[in-house]
Amino acid sequence: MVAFYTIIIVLLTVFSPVLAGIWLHRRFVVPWRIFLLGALVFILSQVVHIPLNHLLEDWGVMARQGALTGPVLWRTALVGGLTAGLCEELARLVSFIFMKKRKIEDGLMLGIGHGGIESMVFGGVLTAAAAGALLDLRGVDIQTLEMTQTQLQILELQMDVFLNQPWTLIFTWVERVIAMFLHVSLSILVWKAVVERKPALVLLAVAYHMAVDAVVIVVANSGWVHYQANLAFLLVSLPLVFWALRNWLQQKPAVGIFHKSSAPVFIAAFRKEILGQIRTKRFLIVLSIFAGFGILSPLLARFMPEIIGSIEEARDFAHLIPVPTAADSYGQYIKNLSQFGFILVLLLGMGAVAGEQEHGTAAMILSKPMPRWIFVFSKLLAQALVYFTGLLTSAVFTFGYTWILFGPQDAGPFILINLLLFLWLLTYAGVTLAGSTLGRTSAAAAGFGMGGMVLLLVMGSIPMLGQLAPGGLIAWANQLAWSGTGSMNPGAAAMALVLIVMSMLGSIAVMEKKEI
Amino acid sequence: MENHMSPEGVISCRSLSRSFGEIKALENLNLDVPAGSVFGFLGRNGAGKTTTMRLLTGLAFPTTGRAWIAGIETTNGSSASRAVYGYLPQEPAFYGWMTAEEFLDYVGRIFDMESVRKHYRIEQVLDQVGLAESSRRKISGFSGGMKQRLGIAQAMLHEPPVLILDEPTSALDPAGRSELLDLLVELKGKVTVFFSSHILADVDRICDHIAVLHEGKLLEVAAREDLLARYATDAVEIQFVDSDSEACSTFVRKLQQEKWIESVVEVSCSIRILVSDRETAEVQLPKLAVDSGLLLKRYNWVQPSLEEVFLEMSQ
Repeated sequence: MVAFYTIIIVLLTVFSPVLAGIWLHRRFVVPWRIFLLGALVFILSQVVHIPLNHLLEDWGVMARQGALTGPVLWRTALVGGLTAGLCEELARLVSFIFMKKRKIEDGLMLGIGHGGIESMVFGGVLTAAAAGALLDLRGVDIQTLEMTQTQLQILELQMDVFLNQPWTLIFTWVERVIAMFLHVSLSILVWKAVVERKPALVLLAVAYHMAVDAVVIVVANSGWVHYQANLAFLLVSLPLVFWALRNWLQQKPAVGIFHKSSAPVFIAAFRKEILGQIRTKRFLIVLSIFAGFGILSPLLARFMPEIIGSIEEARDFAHLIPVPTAADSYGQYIKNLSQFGFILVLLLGMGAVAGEQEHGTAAMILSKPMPRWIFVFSKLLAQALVYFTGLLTSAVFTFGYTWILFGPQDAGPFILINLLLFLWLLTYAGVTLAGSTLGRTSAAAAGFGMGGMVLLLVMGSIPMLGQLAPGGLIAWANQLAWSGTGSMNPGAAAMALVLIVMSMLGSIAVMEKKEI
Repeated sequence: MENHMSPEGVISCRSLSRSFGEIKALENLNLDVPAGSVFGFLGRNGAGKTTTMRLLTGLAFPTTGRAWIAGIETTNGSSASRAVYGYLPQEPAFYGWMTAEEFLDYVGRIFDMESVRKHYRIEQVLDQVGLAESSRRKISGFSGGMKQRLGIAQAMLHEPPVLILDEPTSALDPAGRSELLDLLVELKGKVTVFFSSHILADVDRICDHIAVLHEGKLLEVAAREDLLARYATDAVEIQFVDSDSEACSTFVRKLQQEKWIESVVEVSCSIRILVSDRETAEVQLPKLAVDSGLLLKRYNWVQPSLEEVFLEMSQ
């Protein structure tokens, strides 16, 4: 049940902002790049906000995390709220100042992007990471952990709620929804300040942000239960949300667009992509490569001592090689697929959009009622299906050969290994597709795609963030291969989902602005 | 979305401009294309014809201005307007792995055409463009002309009220050109055809309205007859049946004495006269010709060709 609720929360926190963005985009033709700008505003504001808070903690202006009480709590809450308000609202202000067109619906989309990425990261990724950490502590005597008594009490309480009432995770999503409404409202407040040239409204936004954050910090440290905390958060946010709603209803465009269903066009585009993969033999090539690795991995693992032993120069070392096991087979499988899958994804995905633009077919198709998001999304989905089929073929061969060569195996961990590999492949496919929309030629697209992939690899070496990078999925898969269970990393899986979604939205935003 | 039901044109542009850095590819284009017309969009290479079409079809974005097709804005990034027109790019490109029939089926699906109608239309348009026998051949094996024909077929497939064709005859052989022009003439009155070309003979043959674009600026837009009349020169050509050079010379000398005549050129009793006062000339010239005693074979005011008009405008 814990895994089930964690998955539900990740899906809700990741996709609810996307759904809000889809509604605004379809109804009022608000470009997706404003959503991404909102996300960027949040990320850049945190680049200043987090080190600033650390600095203030070092100076003793704010207290570090832990059970806070009395004046220290109030001071920490107010200063923490003020730094959040200053960093986030000023970042929002700068983005509105440099925005060419400033319609109220742009303000709305900027708020959704800002609150959206916060929801994805704080609601999705961090909840999943916390769930993984708490699940790892099951059966561990927490008294043996090096923690203060207060920290141990908090941890014990968290584990009790988490393991016995996993449904309470739903409050994480509720909190994120309220936060999104608040960010949208603050965004409209700052938008109004810029459009009507009223700097006082920016100060009001900072003050309101500070007040709400302060209340949330105080409530979180006062032992209130989740629904009480959410209720307090809602009540303090409501006045501004009502004010923003009134402004929206007064100023929203009079005529919205009511689109026909996009389903038939999407099916047509997806069908064409699949047909293309089959007719151009790409499907067959992927299937052959995956099948090859699926067969070779267990055979290599099983016969490695014999292979080494057959080489005259290495014969003396053959006895040093441990007796191969099923874990070697799975380990070899993960190594092969992660090394060659990377290249395969780049080769298959780099020309997906850039190639069509280069050859002129994009102009032919996009001058028809084919929304650009369908043009891009159908490509990712078709690639996903190709990789899924390839991975399935490979998995069947590897599992079958491992069974034959090493005896009966438990399928559960191997299924999870393949799901993680699939998510890993899709993350890189998403980044490559984003590269393909940025480049005008396949070669340029390959460059952009490779650049994105390198960034993801670099992300893996950043302290704290590294374990949430796509490489964390491979590490998790390896642990499953060698121990059957091991330390879980659902945070990396949630981050992979966020990266896929944001790559997709980025690709669509680029396509919307791109001249064909 | 804001609609703009233009009272004048099925295609409308208002202050449509597009710049590429310092270069102004299109400058402040205001245009209304009448419904049911075959509208020729003329201009030299680089005049801005393709840029205009790309802006109209939403493939490029204007620096300023807006455009509408059938009352639906096309310059706001929405794909809603794209169902009301068919577009043939200058260099139509296709998926080489598809057959002609498959490509049209794909296009029909994008337009969400009902299955029976789609299959009927696929057969019909393939027949109209002369590709019925090649319908199951892979497009990768098609010649340039065949691709152009398929491009026209895909533009017409969903029976749009507006056809936007960018140089539709450029890759066709003379027979293919003639067939396509006949097809477009058949559509006159039912479909608005907006097509660019630098083959002036094609435009002259089928267009009832013409716009001339030069260096990104609209120089002229008018009904074909009005345009030709506007650029008509005040010149008359007279030819006599006899080739009596003496009588002809006498007639020429008489003409040269008239104040309303600017110049007279005579070659083998064929005389070209440029007049300064057309009204007087229209009355006096026939009388002088009859008085000369020569037997008149031809007498007509010179009508400039579209080519002459175009060259004069775009110089």
